[in-house]
Amino acid sequence: MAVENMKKFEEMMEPFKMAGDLIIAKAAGDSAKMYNRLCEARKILMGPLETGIAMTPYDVEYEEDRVKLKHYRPMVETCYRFPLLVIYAQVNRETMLDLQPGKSVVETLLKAGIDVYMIDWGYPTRKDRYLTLGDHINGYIDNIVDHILEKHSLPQLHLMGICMGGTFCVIYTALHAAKVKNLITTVTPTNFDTKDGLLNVWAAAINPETMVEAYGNIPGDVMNIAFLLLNPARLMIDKYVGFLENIDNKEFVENFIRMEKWIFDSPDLPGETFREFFNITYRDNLLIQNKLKIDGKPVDLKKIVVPVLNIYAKYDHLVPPSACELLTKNIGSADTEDLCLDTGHIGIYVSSKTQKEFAPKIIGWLAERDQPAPGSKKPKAATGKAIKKKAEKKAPPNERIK
Amino acid sequence: MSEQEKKTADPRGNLFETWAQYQADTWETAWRTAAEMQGKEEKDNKQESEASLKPFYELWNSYLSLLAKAGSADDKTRISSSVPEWIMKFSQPMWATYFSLQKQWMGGGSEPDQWMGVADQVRKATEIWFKTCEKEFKPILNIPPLGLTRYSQERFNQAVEKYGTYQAALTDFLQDLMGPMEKAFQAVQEDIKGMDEKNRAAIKDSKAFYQLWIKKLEQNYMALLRSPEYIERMSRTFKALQEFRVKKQRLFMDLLQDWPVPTNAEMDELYKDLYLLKKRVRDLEKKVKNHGS
Repeated sequence: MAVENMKKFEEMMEPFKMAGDLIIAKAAGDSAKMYNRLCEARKILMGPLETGIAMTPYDVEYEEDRVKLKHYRPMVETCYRFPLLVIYAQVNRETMLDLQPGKSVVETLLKAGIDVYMIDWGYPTRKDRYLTLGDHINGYIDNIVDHILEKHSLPQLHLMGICMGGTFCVIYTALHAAKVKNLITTVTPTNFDTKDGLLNVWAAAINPETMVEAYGNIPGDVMNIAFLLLNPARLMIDKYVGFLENIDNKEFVENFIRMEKWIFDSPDLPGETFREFFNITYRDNLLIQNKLKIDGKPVDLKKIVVPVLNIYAKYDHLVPPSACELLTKNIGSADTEDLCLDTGHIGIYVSSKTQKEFAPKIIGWLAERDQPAPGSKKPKAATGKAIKKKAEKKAPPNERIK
Repeated sequence: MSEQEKKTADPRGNLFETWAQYQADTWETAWRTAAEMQGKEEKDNKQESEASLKPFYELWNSYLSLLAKAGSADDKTRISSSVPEWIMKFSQPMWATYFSLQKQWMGGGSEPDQWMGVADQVRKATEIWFKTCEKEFKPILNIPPLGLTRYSQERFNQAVEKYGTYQAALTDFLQDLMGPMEKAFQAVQEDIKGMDEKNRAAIKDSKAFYQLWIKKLEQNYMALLRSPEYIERMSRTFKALQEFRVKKQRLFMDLLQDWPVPTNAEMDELYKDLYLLKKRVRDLEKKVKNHGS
């Protein structure tokens, strides 16, 4: 058998010889270039690098257990009457919205005159393993909303959710409709009856009960491994090959390291929250069917009558468009808008192209629905032009699917 | 035949008797030396230790005498020949397993003209190895332990067993993940084989080759990651890992009980009480606030 296998192998290698010769000849020619690149890389990597993330100044205004409320210091005069509360997912950190000065969603919103608050969920420890979805939505989020409303003496605020945080926002708005002025959901999964995303396909293989029994809280690195396995060729190989190819480019290296810092800064997920969330979404798909109950209260999507802007990404392998686009068809609001951007799950917030579309769209959409404070100027209209377009380009290979 | 003649005729009996006599002499000498090492001041203690050792010494001596003197030459022959026989019988299942393993490995389920990739060959070899472990070692670990420490032994055995199951599942899963690598190389080779001279010349540097390969790799991964076989293997690996973690934690809890360190179970109990208390306080605070307003 070994001789037969060897013959087959030799047959397969036969046409390969020519390409191999060319490759070796080219590689030899490139060796001088490669040497120069490595010398430059040495200088860059061993020299000072600006890789700080979450650089926009803020104050912590409220704290409850591990949860903090960040209030970003205004950069211009606030011209929106209602403040905006941003709720990020419990997977990874909210620093993604403020990854880099000049490419920060938070910075863009502040420069438009929006008063921005953001929840920092912190790093859950073993003592947080019993916290339920109800504790997060009717507890932490509701307390924070009350704090902001009391501070501003306002009855309502704008709410913006990201990914799992968006699902929290949808549930919160259905349960506390009176406190929400406008709702923005970004890459927010609400329909889980789809096989477009690999996570939806893999869900059948996951038993949240045994996971919680084994781990207590679900470790961030376990989730990271799962996310990396969504596309091993790009996320575990091609991404780092790209890094090596650009290792002599200081700006590229700095941006790459910022992204690496964010990706692997993964807090654990409270065990009970994970179990409950997985069961109501991936297993039973209760939310979109109006069958969900939180703390015994039914979550009726028809009670969401406020304006809703639903933004998602065409190349999102984690939360595919089919997981997002049903929301606006199932809520009670007449003022809804869906926007599908030509990017991926993270690219929507960090890519240079969508920086010109994503945040400006939110600014413009809110400006049209924000009643100005008596005596103040009306906020400027949208500057972004991003409306539904057909995509032609693929998501950047360096982008992390999450 | 006289006793002397019997000894000469059967050298095995002679040898055994000599060995038994030597053993008896050695123990007697050792016992006496130990007794003499005691000082005069420790006379009482000496008597006590002599008294406690004497029954053991006498029992051992009687046993050896019995073996050396009481039996016939045939008995001695049976004793000496039964030892290798016993070893052979005991080791028979192990040899059977080894030969079965070798047969599966070398014989191979595949036909000679069937090309098996490296990943497939490694997968087959490890599959056979883990199946053998499952068949031979798992039953040993499942033997019910006895005595005072039975529960500790049981938890140790379970942790070892689950570790083995996890390693088997993980190896299988990782091999599955390596599959697309080999397939991507093969696909690139097939592509190049199918190219005409002009197109083949386009693959002129490592970057072009790499781009072709990574594209094929991604395609192969996408096909694999959605396949029911992969999902089944992933599920089995997760399950095995979780079961191993649970058993490992129980084992560690046993070990921690001897140290002034709280176990996870104890801390979880405390955390749950704390969680419920905080929740009650918050609910009461809200009620008071609403009542006041």
